[in-house]
Amino acid sequence: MVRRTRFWKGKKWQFAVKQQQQNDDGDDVVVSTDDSHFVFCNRPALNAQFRYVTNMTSTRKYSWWSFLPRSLFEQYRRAAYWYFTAMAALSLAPFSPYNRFSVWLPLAFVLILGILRELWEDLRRYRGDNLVNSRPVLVHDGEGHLLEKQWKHLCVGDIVKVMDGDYFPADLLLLSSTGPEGICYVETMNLDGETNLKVRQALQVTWAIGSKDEGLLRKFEANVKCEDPNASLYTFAGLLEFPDGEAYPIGPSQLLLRDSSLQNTGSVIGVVIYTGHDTKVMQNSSPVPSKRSRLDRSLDRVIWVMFAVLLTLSSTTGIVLGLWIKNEGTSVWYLQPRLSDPYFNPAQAVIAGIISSLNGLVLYGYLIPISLYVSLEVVRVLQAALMMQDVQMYDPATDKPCRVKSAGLNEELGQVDTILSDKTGTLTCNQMDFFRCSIGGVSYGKGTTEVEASAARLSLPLGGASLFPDAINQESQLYKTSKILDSATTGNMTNGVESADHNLFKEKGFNFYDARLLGGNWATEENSQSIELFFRILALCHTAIPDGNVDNPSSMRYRAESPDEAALVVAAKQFGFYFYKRTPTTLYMRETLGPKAQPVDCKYQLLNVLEFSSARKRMSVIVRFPDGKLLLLCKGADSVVLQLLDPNNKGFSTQTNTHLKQYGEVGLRTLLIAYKELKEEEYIIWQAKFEEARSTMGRERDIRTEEAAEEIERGLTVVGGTGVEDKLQAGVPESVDRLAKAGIKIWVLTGDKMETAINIGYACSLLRQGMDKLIVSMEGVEARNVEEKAQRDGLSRNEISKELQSLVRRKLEDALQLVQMHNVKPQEVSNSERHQLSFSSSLHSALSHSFSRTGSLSESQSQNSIMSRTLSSSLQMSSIQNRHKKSSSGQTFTQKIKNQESPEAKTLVNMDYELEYALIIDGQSLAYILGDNGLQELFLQVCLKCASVLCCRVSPRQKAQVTRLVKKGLGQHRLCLAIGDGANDVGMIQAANVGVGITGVEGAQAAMAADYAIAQFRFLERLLLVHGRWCYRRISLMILYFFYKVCLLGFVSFYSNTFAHFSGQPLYLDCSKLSRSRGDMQGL
Amino acid sequence: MSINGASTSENPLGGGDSIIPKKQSRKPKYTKFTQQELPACKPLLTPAWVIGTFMLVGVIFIPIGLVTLLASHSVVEIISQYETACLDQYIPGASKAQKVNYIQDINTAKSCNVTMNINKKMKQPVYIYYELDNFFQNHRRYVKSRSDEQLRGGKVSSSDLDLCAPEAQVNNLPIVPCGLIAWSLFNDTYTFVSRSNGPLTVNKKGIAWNSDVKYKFSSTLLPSNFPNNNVSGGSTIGGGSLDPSSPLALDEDLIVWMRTAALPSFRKLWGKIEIDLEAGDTITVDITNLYNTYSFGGKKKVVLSTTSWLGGKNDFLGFAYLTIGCLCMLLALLFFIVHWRNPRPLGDTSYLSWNKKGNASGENVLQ
Repeated sequence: MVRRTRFWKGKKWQFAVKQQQQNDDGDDVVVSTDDSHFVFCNRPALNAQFRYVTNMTSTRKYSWWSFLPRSLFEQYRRAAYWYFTAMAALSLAPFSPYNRFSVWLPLAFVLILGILRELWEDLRRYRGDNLVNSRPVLVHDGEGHLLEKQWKHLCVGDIVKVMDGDYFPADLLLLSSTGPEGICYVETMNLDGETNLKVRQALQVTWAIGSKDEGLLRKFEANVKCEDPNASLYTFAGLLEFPDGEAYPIGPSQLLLRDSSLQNTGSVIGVVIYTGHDTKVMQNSSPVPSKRSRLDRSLDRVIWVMFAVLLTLSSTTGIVLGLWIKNEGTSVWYLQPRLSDPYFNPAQAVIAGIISSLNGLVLYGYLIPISLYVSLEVVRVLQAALMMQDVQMYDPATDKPCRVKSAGLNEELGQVDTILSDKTGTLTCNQMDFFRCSIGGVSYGKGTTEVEASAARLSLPLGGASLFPDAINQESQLYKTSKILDSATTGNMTNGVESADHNLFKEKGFNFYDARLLGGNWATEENSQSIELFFRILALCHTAIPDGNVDNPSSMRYRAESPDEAALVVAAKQFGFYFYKRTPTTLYMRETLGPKAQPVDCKYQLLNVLEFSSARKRMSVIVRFPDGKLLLLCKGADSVVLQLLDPNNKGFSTQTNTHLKQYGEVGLRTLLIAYKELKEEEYIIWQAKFEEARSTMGRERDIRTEEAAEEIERGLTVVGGTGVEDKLQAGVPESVDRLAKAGIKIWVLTGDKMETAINIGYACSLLRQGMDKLIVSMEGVEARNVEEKAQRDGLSRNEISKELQSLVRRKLEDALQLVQMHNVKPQEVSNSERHQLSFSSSLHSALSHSFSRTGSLSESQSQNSIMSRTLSSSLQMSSIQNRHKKSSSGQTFTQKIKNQESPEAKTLVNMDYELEYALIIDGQSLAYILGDNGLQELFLQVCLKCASVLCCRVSPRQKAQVTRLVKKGLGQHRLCLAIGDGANDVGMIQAANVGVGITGVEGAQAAMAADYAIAQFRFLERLLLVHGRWCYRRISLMILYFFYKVCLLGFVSFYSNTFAHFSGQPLYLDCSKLSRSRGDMQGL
Repeated sequence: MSINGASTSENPLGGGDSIIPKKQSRKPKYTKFTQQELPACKPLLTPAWVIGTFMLVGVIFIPIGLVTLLASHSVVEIISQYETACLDQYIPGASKAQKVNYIQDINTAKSCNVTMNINKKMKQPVYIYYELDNFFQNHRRYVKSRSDEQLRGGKVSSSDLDLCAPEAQVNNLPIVPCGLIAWSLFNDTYTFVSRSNGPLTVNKKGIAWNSDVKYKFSSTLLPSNFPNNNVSGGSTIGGGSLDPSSPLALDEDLIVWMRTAALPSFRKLWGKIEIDLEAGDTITVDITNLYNTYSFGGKKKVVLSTTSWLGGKNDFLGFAYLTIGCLCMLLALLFFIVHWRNPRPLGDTSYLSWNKKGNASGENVLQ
């Protein structure tokens, strides 16, 4: 109670927190100094003093009272409107040559139209917000009861109960869950676009709350002290303090973010920490920007020029008239100079001149056409209607035509230079299919992957393979065999996919056909032992959670960390190893061994899970089989697992590896499957170490756990490998290819892992074999070195980040040098010996090779192996030694192509000549880049020279930041377009010049925020290359014509006035005069 | 289109869709208009087309130009400038002030005569025009200063009368017809005496536009309070006076004058001579030189002219046609020579920017 009274005094309280932190210094918990967010849990009334925002969220651009002024302001961002208003004001003056209504009416029309449109859009947003704000949630009323409340009435400190499948109404601190050990699963698709489930675990002290005993709920009392609201989705730090003074550190693992949803868990209890606009997701959202077409802006510039012309004309009018009146006014008796008025007074010619020049402004006002703005609006609306009517942009599967939200950007579509694309759900369907496998040195599975199919359609040889005769033979053999098998089974020679479509066993995640394995036939294969083990590993080595009716295998869904993991479990199910239940210690399986065998239920004891991390690139489980055997089952990236094999017992590793390379080339994601039998003693010793490592606190923990895991994951034996296809959306490779041919650059910004991004890059021909990949990553050896050094030297956080930043800078500078060096003609490269590159095999990963350069670059850099350079697998296989050799072989390759003389081959030759680069960068590096202006510049320079850019592991905010950066970097004359489908792409879509949303399966936020919504990525091609071009051409033509017209009108009017001493007599009658006095031509 | 093929591809999520009841499809209707597939014609500017078109324009325009020029030349026009000649009879070599004094003095003798020699036979009707120069009938102050409502004989409100400023009223009584235009009515008069035929009758009827006479000028409204009608000497004189007993519609000189000219140098029809004038004849024009152009240095001319099917004498149109026609022929010839000497296939893609060597797109980005 003492503490609470202290906290009552607002200002003093912040100071108190800081003091306390200093006391906590010894603790491992890192609490940043701006931790001033304070929450009295379960006592929402007490939190009122802090004046936290309500849980009402609003995405509206205007509020009720500010609507009129602000929307008017929006309208008046067009320079021309100011002019029109000034002209309208002038038309009220008595000397106006035109009737006031003929000036005011069009202005009012345009303004009202614009305001109405804003109103309509804002109302739509308001309705959307209302829907969200009035969602119900169960809230603890303080008396131990849970009552239903609307989201918007939620306060900080409230205790809420969220049911399975529901969205979290605010950022919650997880207290307890119906799941075991306070665990619950959340889906964060709206935040980062990932569909996998993430685990959140409550602190042990709070597990009991929310159990049957309602008294606990009422009695629960604690304070939370944590960071101020911020936008970082992946960090959170705070302290949970109980009245008895006990404090527990809390982190991201206890935080349930708004807009993510609870999955596979009965219900959870949580305390509201951040509400409304303080929540991380809202902090991530940027205000709805008002996008203006660049054409509008350049139109403004033209208007300024026209305005200058107008001013010249009207001041000429004034001066000439003034001089004439002064000098000769008295002699023109027929104008009655003696009965003068201000407009004609020889004694005061200056006044007459000024009035006359004002009059000139109105008179030659034709030069600035208000009708252009009206016409532009109308034309754009019509164009939008035509786009929405386009049958070729209609998707029958989702029954969605193209939708145009901001017709004002139509012509921008035709000027896109760079496309920033999301990956999941945009390029891919976010569906992984088990496609091929290699077991015991035999490759199974057939059919054609998207990559093969698109390569075949584009009649490109699979790039890298063609460079090297060995590879080409293997590849074509693989390709041929699968085709022959297809034709043998279905008689369909043309398309292998179709035969797979008739596959009875096909389901989501499983697109595999090979009669040798399916339907239990594998039992008759000669190496059925390995096959059985292989399938068991697939069924056991994962962290997926089964979801569905146990007795109905076909309805069973697996919620896995990633869809490819689920695909493997589904595959095992299809092969007769049906995994149906998981507890923390046991895995339940129903095994069908053979075509006619009866299913048998088995229990496998799960001892340890060595989790996947992007650094480890593998996961393992230690399982006790029903027969008592102790096995370590491992699956992982081939590059990593190959290093861990038992050197004395290579087994099938060579064949398997070859197969996996081939799978990789045809765009499959590959995993190597291996195992190891453990001795009982060995395990017990290791288990102790592992437990100890796990119980370490803080940052040490991860490193030590990893080390422990590495210790046991040694001496593995290969069983086989898998090839999983990340299903591309229909027509993506072709669209990407055609967009690329149109000179449009495509960047992929994804929250996914780097390897996944690279795979997809290949699959949709963003990356091509023979392209050089420049990888900038914080997961490499160098970054780790920096961190280790930092730990040794006890550097502060700031210093570490400085180190890392300079690391990124070095990498980028290197990349830039490389890119600039090779942007010259290939001949020059091969001629200049000093640019030779030598490759050395990599230390930290077989996937990415480090290279060192001799010659112009310094020794230290080569020692650090700063640049990671990934080679295509085929390049690795052939022992190519230097750049010289590579480019010369590239030339012979182009020679070959030239002989074929097909147009596609010619473009390929062109592409090859340009020696393209692809930059691949991860979110962490990006964070350093975005934080520094110099680095941003550098990054842009590199990126703009690269043919493709892949950004992996980027947060929604980073996506938006990158987009803004690109927009800035591209400058005035080139535009960027962002395309995405999830809520995580909204920032990007809003930041880009043009935002396109995919109205896919993943909610509608992206489509709502977008300027254009299409159902499939491939429609982008038509949207940009057909409609964009048309709109751009037509609108440009119309504007040009308009200016031709107004110049004609304005200058003729001026010219006619030169014959009347610039007296300001209008040449054309305005409409009011026409109607009033018919036939009154006045001879003019 | 290959895109249509995708409609057969399976739903990416698979399953679950069959439960949703069939709604009305939102598939856009296929019409040639909405798909922007209406037949369209966009001329491809091939060399043959361009040369042919220029040729054609030339072939059509040159004859038209010739015919027009011919018609213009068939018109006989005799012009006689008299404002200086008439003055010189009385005060030769007068200064501007003297001239103005002379013309504004109602007591000075103002009659004079000029002779016009007919070189070519003039078929009737021979039109008589007066031509003024440096007279800005198109000045805004001047153009605005009239009340059509009043001229039409309608009810004249005070705002209508305001239009006539500064010649709206005298002694608080409205002027009829009001305004600067009516006030500055041209009032020189001419009589024509032919050497062979004696005095010529001039038809002053039918010189104004029919529509003006019928609709725009009242046939009942009589001039009243017209300032020029009671000029008592001095320098306040404007233009001509009006017959207070004759309604406006009958005063065709006024009607002609009130149709203001667009340019500062203009002719207005004054009358018609309805007999042929033979070549070699001399006509003496007796002029009452009343109208003041001396203040602003304007010229006065009297013009006799016949008309052709194309109107009066005007060479501009013929020359314009001829110039354009010749230019087109010249261009056709030029293009033909260029095409003949240096032919290249239409749509040669090697000239496209991205096919030109050393100009690969996106290369010069960061300079």
